[in-house]
Amino acid sequence: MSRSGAPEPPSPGGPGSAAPSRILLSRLSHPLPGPAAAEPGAAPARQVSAPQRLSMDASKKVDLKIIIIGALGVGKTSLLHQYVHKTFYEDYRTTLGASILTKVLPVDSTPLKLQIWDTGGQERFRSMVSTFYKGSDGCMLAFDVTDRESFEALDNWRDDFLEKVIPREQDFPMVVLGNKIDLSDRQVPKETASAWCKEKDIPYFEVSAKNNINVAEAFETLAKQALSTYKGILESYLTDSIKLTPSDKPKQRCC
Amino acid sequence: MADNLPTEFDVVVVGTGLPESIIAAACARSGQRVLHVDSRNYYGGNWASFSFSGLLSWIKENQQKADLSDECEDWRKLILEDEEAIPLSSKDKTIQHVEDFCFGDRDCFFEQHLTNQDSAEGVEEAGALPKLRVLGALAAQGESPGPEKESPAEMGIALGSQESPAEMGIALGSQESPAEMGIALGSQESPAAEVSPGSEKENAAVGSPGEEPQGCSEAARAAAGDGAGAAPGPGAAPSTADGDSAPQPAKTEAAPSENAAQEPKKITYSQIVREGRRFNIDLVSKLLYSRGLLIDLLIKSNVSRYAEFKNATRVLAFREGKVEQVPCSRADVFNSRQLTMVEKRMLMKFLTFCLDYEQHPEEYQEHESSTFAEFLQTRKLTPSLQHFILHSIAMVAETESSTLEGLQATKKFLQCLGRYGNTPFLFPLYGQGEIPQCFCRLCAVFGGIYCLRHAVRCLVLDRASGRCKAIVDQFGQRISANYFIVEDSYLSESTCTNVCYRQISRAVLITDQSVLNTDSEQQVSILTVPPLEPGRAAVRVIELCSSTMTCMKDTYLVHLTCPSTKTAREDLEPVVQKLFNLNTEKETENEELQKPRVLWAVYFNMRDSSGVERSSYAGLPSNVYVCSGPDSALGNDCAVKQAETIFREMFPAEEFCPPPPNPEDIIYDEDEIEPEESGLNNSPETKPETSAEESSSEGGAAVTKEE
Repeated sequence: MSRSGAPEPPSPGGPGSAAPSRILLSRLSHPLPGPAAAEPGAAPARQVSAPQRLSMDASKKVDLKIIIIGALGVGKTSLLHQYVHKTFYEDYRTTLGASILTKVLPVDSTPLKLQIWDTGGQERFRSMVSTFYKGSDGCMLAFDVTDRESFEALDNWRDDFLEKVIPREQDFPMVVLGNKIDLSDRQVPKETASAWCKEKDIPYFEVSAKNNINVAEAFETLAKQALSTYKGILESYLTDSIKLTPSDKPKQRCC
Repeated sequence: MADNLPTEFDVVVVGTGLPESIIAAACARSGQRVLHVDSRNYYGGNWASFSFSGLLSWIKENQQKADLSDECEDWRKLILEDEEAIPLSSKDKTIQHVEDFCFGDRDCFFEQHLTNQDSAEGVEEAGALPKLRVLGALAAQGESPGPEKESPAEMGIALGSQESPAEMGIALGSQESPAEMGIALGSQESPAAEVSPGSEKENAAVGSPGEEPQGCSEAARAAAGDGAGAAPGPGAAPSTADGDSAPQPAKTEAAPSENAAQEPKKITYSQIVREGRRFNIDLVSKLLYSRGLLIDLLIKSNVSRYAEFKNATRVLAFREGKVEQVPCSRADVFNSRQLTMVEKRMLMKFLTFCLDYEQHPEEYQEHESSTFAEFLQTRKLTPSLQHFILHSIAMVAETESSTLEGLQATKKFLQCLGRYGNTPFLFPLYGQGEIPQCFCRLCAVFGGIYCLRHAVRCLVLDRASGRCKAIVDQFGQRISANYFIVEDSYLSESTCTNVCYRQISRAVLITDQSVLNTDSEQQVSILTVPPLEPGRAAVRVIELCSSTMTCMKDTYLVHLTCPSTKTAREDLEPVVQKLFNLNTEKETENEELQKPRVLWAVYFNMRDSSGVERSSYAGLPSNVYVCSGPDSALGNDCAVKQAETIFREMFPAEEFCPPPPNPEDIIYDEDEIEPEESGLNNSPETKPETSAEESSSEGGAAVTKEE
């Protein structure tokens, strides 16, 4: 997952130190004296962790965490669902149940697994858990072109985000989506939004979740940005971590 | 964006600590409409974790006695005749005796000196005994220690140094060579070359690598905050590192390959401040047992998806003044170079027995009324093995724990080995403070509404039924519900008047190397230090490396915990002194040299409200439940058990945190959805079953849409 896959930029010059050693679980799955085989009947509720020697070969899937933020009701969940499921729900509702959507896409011969975190509705009273931000590799800022306030709130959302993530040398991968261009009562002209984005040096996309306009392009641009940033800061010092899962399938994880 | 809060819910939860967050998640998961509030602007309450600057703010807040809240009593008007108000507390009183220290780094001096600029005290401060308390990057003004603090003199000396407080590297007019200051800035050059002895504060700026002063002044600017402008006084201009030293920005952080890998990097306070967001400092220090209630719950509920974990990699012991690694797994025992062959056999034999000790009652029956320590003495184990087992594996009290307790604890430890790694324990990436938030996220995802910065003034009791029917919040809004969960610290003094609380003593240190240096720097270690004196508690030490994402590179975050006997500092400082070097560069003994250096420390006492009988709270309506704050145990069983118990009392027919439905089974039924303006309708009838915790487009497991 992104958190383990995207280490924070190291202090310049410091030699990487080895992450806590990974242990192939079969060796130690039975405590003390018994046979060193996997425990009989144990729920294999764990990841087999890969050795942490990092390599960027194309066969290794890279996990990136993307978050989507913005005012309530701008269409974040719809954008997500459109991108991942190619579906659009007409009726407005706050996110219920779907909190992380996953999309796999190949980018420059690297298979990329995007884990896109929806807000869960906590943005409503600006009470996002900081867990939401931790370890994110890219950020999607969304607003509603028919809602001026939601555009004006972008500054706050962006600042909020930058405050919460660990500062990096290069700019954090970010894109802005102006959603609902399918509606006629637009309040935010394209030029206005573009200008704001240009000033912040963030790519701008005019999109429609409903009509599936530009959605994939926006996500893919962000994914590419995030991947190249990720590759840039990757090094042998990594937070190789454990993900707990009830399923048996060994998930591939990036190193 | 302005939005109106609904005024009717099924459950209102006050406080975002772990037990109440689990309950909130369980309630939302079972279809209840949940409002979850916290008076603070962060999640977790006493379970929270902070960046470095966040912690400094927290420290400051808890060192102040000021009552911050507006005690407006207007809400009383909202109480009807047939009702009664049960006020809640407006100020948290669970944290006491907070003391923070910055060590051996003259940047600290600059920090506080610059913030003292405005007060006349500033000048006096310089000449006086050093005030060691760091005012922190967010401190606005120099301030004198609060009434509860000891005099600076005491503080200066009490830190284990018998030398003059100049040891701390802060004092002006110190007779010690300010060369110490030079070293602290990460310069690899000989200090003498850089700073002339007896120099005053002007020279302290000199001799520093160019980057340092900037960092210092940045932090100082932050410290001066509101327009005190950080205008450094004459001579104390950190940015004027002119003349004597060439700017060497790379130097502070560079680790040229020639440098011995063993030599700890010189980390300065200003670096810590600058890298402050890399720190995630928990108020609570715990680990997760790999076969424990919390892990099981995380997996079962799928909340585990929101977090990642690291193995604790080492179990350590402190014996005869030395830190040693305890072999716990079979492989460890075999590979151990410390144990003799005989010891290895002894240990394996004993641990094998412990793993299913109940099958061999004859082995321990006669000792059931002895302590576990006494029992161990009868077991053909060398003293060092007994120590390992008693203190680092069973982790029970020497004089109080029974044989059975010890055996059970040892068994628990052994059963947890190997599930994920070499030790029984996991630690959450980014810190323990993540866990309550993960449950909050689950609650939100299932419709729970979240409001931080939202205080509750009182509970509203219906006289006739004796049940609580609503809360009144700080905005004067009445919000009704059927059940109320309130974390202990929110209850008023009068409600808690009969409650006897214990306390937990805590310390957090930022250090520059591990207590036990081995080949790999990235270790997560748990060390139990037996009581240094009879009648005291054992101290649990958890050392975290930077790959846990709780501290910056080349530092370690060390947490100490024990049930309180006295103030945290009194309880824990002796242990800190044993394990760490609190002096500055001027070491006198080799021994001190080998110990990790403490860069920064904080001590505090935290209320332990666990295990309090519900009946001890005065006048609680039957539909109001109390959650406790953190307990002092290593694991999280207490929080999970509480949550489950309370949930089952409220909703006995509901499943507790069931796994979310398989995305492939989800059918989204549009007909049932009524468009709502606020889109807030959380009631079970309209909630679709698209409760796909994660829908993935990978395997084509898309959510299907009915037409």
